[in-house]
Amino acid sequence: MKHAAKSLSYRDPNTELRALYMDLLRNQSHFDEFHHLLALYHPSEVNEIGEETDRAREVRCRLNDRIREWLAMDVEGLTCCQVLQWRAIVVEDRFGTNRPSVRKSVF
Amino acid sequence: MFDVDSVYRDFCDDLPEAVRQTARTLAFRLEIAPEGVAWSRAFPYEFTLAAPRLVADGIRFLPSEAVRAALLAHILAVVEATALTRLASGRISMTPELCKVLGYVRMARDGVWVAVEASMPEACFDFAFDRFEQALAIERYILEGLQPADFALYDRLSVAKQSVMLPASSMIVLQAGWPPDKRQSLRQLLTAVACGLQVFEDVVDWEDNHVRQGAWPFVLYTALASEAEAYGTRATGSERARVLDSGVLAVLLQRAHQHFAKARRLAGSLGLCCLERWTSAQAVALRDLCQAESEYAGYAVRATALRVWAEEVLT
Repeated sequence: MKHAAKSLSYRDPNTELRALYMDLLRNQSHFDEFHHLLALYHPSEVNEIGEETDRAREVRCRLNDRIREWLAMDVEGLTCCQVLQWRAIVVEDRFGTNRPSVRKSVF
Repeated sequence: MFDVDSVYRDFCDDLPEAVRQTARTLAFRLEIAPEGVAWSRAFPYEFTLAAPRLVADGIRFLPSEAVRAALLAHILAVVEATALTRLASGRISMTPELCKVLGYVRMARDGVWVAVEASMPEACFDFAFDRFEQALAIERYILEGLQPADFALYDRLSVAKQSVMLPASSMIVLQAGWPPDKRQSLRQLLTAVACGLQVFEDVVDWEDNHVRQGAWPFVLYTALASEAEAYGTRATGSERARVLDSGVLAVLLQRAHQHFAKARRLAGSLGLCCLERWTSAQAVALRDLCQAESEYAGYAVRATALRVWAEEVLT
């Protein structure tokens, strides 16, 4: 019964992403490792329909394992698209495009 | 009212054809923004390029041409100051095309000088740029490790670097007939906002700046580290760890908060309601950010890196 309840438990992806976001805000070492693993995940190793090379899948699995350890939660983990989205913003920030063009507030 | 892009576009359209395209793509050539992004979207805050218009919005019966002229002069002053900063840091190199465009920028800026008395240095761009370039030169020495610095020098240089933000708005309030004490309050307000933004940028960009041309938090942490050593604590580890352990980023964010708190009070006293509301919001945001930085060293840099993602995914 417990096992069934666990397998049917509702996962709120937004809650998991928010938990990851807060953890990265508060922990420099987690943020550094997150940045490093994102940088290892090359966009050229993922096609338009989300099929990854073995190497890319290994990097993503390692990333998701670390996220579960940091959050001490059995989270769903990041999909290929989510990893690429994080990478584009956090790793590939050439002109400061991680900031909106015009901000209303410093924060 | 006039907008930054249309005013700048008109300036470019009046230039000789040989330099027009360089002028139109200047934000890209100065590595301020990706290609195709207009000046109004090149800086994070509207205040940077539109300050005179924000000031004018709170004043009645101003001739619209005077506001437009002041806005153009201000935009060109900020563009030139940005170019000088980029050149001084080695981020970009001077080219013949850039040199020609900057020459036209300077000429056009001087050309919109309205009839102000020569004894009014507050509206004098030459005076402002002298102060700005002196501050830039001293800052170069400091960031390259050739000269020590403390918080007092940092504050003085920050104020001097914002000099070019003042003349155009000073022109507007001179036109509006403001008395000297009120004009002085406006200069203090604009300086406080510009310094607050500068300090904030010095914090959130410090790691990139440290790699390129030097970073103020790295210069200033030693001042705090010396105090800590006197009390028996010691920061160890990498340069970044030393900066984070010192708490200098939180100290700087507290200063940014104080700048905006001062700006809010001044905007309120001058009846500039929009600026008062905006500076109030920044003061609160910086207070919260300072608190987070105190608890989780490096928070401000990480939050900046994750900001766009959070806005797109979590809101």
